[in-house]
Amino acid sequence: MTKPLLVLLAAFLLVPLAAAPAVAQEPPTCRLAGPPAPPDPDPSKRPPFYHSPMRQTCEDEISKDPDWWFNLESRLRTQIHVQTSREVTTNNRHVVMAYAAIWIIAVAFIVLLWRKQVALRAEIDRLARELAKAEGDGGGGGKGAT
Amino acid sequence: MKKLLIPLFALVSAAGLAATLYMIFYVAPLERALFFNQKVFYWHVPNWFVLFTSVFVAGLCSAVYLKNRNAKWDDVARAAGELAVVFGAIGLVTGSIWGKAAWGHWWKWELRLTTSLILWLTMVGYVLVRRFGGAGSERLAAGLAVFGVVNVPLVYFAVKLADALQQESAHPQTTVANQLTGSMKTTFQLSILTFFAFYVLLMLVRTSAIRDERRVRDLRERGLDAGILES
Repeated sequence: MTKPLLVLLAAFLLVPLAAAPAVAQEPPTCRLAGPPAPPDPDPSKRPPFYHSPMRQTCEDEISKDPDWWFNLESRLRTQIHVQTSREVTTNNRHVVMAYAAIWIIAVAFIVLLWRKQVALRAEIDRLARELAKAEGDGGGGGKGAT
Repeated sequence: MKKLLIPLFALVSAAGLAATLYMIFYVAPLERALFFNQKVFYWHVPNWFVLFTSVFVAGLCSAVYLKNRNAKWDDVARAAGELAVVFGAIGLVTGSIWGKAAWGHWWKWELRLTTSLILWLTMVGYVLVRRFGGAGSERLAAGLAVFGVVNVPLVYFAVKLADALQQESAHPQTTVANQLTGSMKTTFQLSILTFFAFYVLLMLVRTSAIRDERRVRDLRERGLDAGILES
């Protein structure tokens, strides 16, 4: 019975090697959508113009903070979006972690089972041998095993 | 017959593991929302199916054992209980890693995750009672296993329940697996078959080992009764 467990253990240890190139390969990156369409040039089709009374206050406040514009521009730059999308599409760290976790737990359990099985077989053989020997001798040896 | 079954299931499991890994990484396309991270799904979900089956087997065999006190049923229940703990640990760890990749959190105290943790802790309790409970603990443990079965539908329908209770649930609905098409569906189905073959193999091996443990105990008792062994 320990042989099938050994086969399974070998499979568990060898199979990840086959998957390694796939994990290393580059998944396709996303293509970003183009900029939004410009507003219709025909003034009659535009919605009525509206200026919020808070607009000037907001602009004044924002103009006091030069970093605000810098941060906004940085966020909106296309390359930032491309980089973020690439991070999402090429992130294989968590997949590797998940499959490694499955492998480690399963292999640990199979090794544990295998060792337990070997120890049990040895114990059964030893006890059976001692019992057979004692019965052959006519019983009552009082020797050794616990 | 069993001598043939164990190598057969070992071969099917090993071949299935290799084939599913090939299909997951080389055949199944990337999913449009989670991209590469979705590949955790192909082993994570079948693992939970096997866990639910194992809890059911443990509970059912425990109930039969409580009724007729036949040790054979108790052996099967014990093997299934231990396997439920192993598959539960795999499910919780892979789920947590997937949660980090998909939602940015290792853990959330939402209904599905919390009920899953309770189910796993129940089965850990079952194994601990069997291991350290002493004489008569098998009946107490059998009661725990039956309680575990009651938890299974709660875990499975937790997402629907969360909707009904108007709670936020990060988990997708249980119908997501049915919406898979093409090679994604084939890969998922093959993973389920492989995990069940692996489960049957481990059940056969573990049940046999538990029966060997019982045999060792019987031999020791015979030795003690005959005065060959010392206690």
